[in-house]
Amino acid sequence: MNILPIAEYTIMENIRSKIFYILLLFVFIMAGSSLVFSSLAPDTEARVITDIGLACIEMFTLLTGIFAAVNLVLQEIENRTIYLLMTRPLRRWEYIVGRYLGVLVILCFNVITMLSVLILLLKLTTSWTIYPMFVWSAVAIFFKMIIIVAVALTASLVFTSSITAMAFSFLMWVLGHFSSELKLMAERVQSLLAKGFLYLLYYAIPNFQLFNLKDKLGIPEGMPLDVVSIVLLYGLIYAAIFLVIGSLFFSKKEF
Amino acid sequence: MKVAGVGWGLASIIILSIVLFTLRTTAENRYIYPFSPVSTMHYVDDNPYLELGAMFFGLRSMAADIAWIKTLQYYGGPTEGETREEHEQHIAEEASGKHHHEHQLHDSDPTAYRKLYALCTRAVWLDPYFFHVYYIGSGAIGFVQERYEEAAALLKEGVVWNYNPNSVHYWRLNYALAALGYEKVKDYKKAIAILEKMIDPADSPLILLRVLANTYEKNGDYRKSIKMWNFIGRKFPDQEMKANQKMETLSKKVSE
Amino acid sequence: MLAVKIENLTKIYKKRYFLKPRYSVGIKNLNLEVEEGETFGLLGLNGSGKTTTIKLLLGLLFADSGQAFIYQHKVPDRQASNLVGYLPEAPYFYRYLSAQEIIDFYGRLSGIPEQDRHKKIDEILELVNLAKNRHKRLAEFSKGMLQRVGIAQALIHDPKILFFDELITGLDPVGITEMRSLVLRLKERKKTIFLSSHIISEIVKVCDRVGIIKEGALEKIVDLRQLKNKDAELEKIFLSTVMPSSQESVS
Repeated sequence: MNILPIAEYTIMENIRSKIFYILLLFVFIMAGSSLVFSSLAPDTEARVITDIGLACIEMFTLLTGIFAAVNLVLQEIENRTIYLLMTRPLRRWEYIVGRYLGVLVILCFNVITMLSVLILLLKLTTSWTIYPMFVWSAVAIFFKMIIIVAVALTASLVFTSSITAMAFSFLMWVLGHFSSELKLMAERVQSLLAKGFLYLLYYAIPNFQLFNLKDKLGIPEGMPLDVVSIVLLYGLIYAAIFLVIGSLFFSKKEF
Repeated sequence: MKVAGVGWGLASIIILSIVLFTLRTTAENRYIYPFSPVSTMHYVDDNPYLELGAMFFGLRSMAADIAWIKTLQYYGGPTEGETREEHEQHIAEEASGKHHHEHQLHDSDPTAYRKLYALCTRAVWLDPYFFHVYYIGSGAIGFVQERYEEAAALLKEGVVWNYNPNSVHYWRLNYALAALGYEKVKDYKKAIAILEKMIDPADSPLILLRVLANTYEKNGDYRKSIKMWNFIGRKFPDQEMKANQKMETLSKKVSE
Repeated sequence: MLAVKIENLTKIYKKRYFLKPRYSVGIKNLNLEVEEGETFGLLGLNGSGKTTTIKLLLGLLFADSGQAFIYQHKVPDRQASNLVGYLPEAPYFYRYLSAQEIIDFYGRLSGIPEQDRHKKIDEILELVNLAKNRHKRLAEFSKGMLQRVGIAQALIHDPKILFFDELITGLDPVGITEMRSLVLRLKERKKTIFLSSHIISEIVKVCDRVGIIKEGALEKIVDLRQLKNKDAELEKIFLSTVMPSSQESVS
């Protein structure tokens, strides 16, 4: 198995690049904006800090995740560092999976760092105490990244253009939050062709809304944990399918 | 060997897709979509950017916060027909004790802050579980501005979305609705009985505590009102001056 | 024993240009055999198909027809890649790694167990004269040093066949001498070496046999061991093989 060394050097590549330190900047943006906004909303400070904090975590990991994913392999092809990898006894799918896992480790580290700052912020400024749904909502944000990074990586291999792949991934992200609206449209539309197309779209695009546990933090009972676990499993399998597709495309690739 | 690899790939895609479909339908059947559909979207000032942004990026909860902050800024700002300078002057006068008004200058004027209801419904359209909007919004619209129908409509929205007899919010929203009704027909005694059940001085928002204090006053329970203002003054330092004024006038009423 | 065997290998490049496919020949019907222990040079002008041939043997490209073998393994094949070491033309490396880290990384990918790896890295870095700079990041390396890193990564797993694509292009005279002596040392160790170049004088100094490739076709194989005045004679043969068609194309 050659997945591990590939994942490790991907992690090292990220840690040693200066881009990694943008994380610090984002931590400040998150802390600053949530504090400013919460001061404008008396009685609801904890809610505002939580919402803005989680939104910042999600948006930051989304942007860095997609950007890293689309360049992950394309950059190596462009820099021709791929030659020396592909002439080693390394299976092509191992390379894809290793690169993918490496990026996820970095994103996971980012999420944990930002989440710790958020928790500290809440503890220091309000009488907030940690509760399970809060942690689960952060876990679900990471699982959204598991999906979108797989989508972006595969898109980069299919389209062989990082701009197209980025656009595709953002489209998936937006439509994935529109899932229930897509279904509503599919149910209401008359034309059979449009109906079929909308249903196909509905099932092909991941339902990101299912992962938005952060939308349900206001509900005392939250979301049942067995449903949460089904949703998380759904995320893993969705990502796996995209990785298989990506690996198939990559196995046909010439350098 | 390579063809076999492609075969395995395609086979695993098919199998995984079936598993994926099953998981998704199972999850969706048990998932309650926490929002109203787009078709019911509320426009305020014909500007749907906040709503669209929220939906496109799945950030409705945060968008609701922003809508709520905008609502609070509107409620704290000048009313229609009042310039910002006039408004700031009034606030300064109030702070210096020249006026003996409620929270705002135009508080009990039913025509002031007319957009308040629309702004509140916008916030709860974005996040129907944003309980503070129901409580504070209905407090301001109903109990302070005396536009009872609008306040009741806002509370009913909350009751419908939060139907869950085990939830404390469900009961509180219903209590608020009932108290509002009694307040409207000026049956302050019954209104107080319900408000006392609904309000928890430790964590209820300021406006509800003031509603309770004012209702005590309307019902002639001056001592209880003084007690509540005393509590408010201690819990919210920026309310201290206001509370002292209130207690002064109420003490005079007691001695009369 | 044959180290490399190529049978009727053809590679046509297809590029989409506004949806219309455009074809260009990489190599066509190439047949070639290289004996174990031999140093074979592929000589040709730029774009004649030297790199294509090497990439096909390494599995970086897939052939349209024909087949190629590294020993008994039909390429592309994972076992074959353990037998070959490859140094691409102007190799690119991860600039954020140090010399030691990058050699370790490639050694790991080639499946060298950890306990052997450290010893081998020491040996290899000594061989390519990078032992002193082993902890420096590659971003700080000169072109010649990078080329030596390239040699080190090609040798770390002790392959039987070495593919050097344009080994000395872009190097200064010192670098060229270094590379030449390295090739000769590898030759002493009985490695099979397959190199490509368009510089006749260099090929002559190290190769046993030379294949002259033109427009994707192998035109002639010259056994240098049978030539007396190697430099001059090879140049004559090469030009006579390559020139006529270029004259035709002028007219």
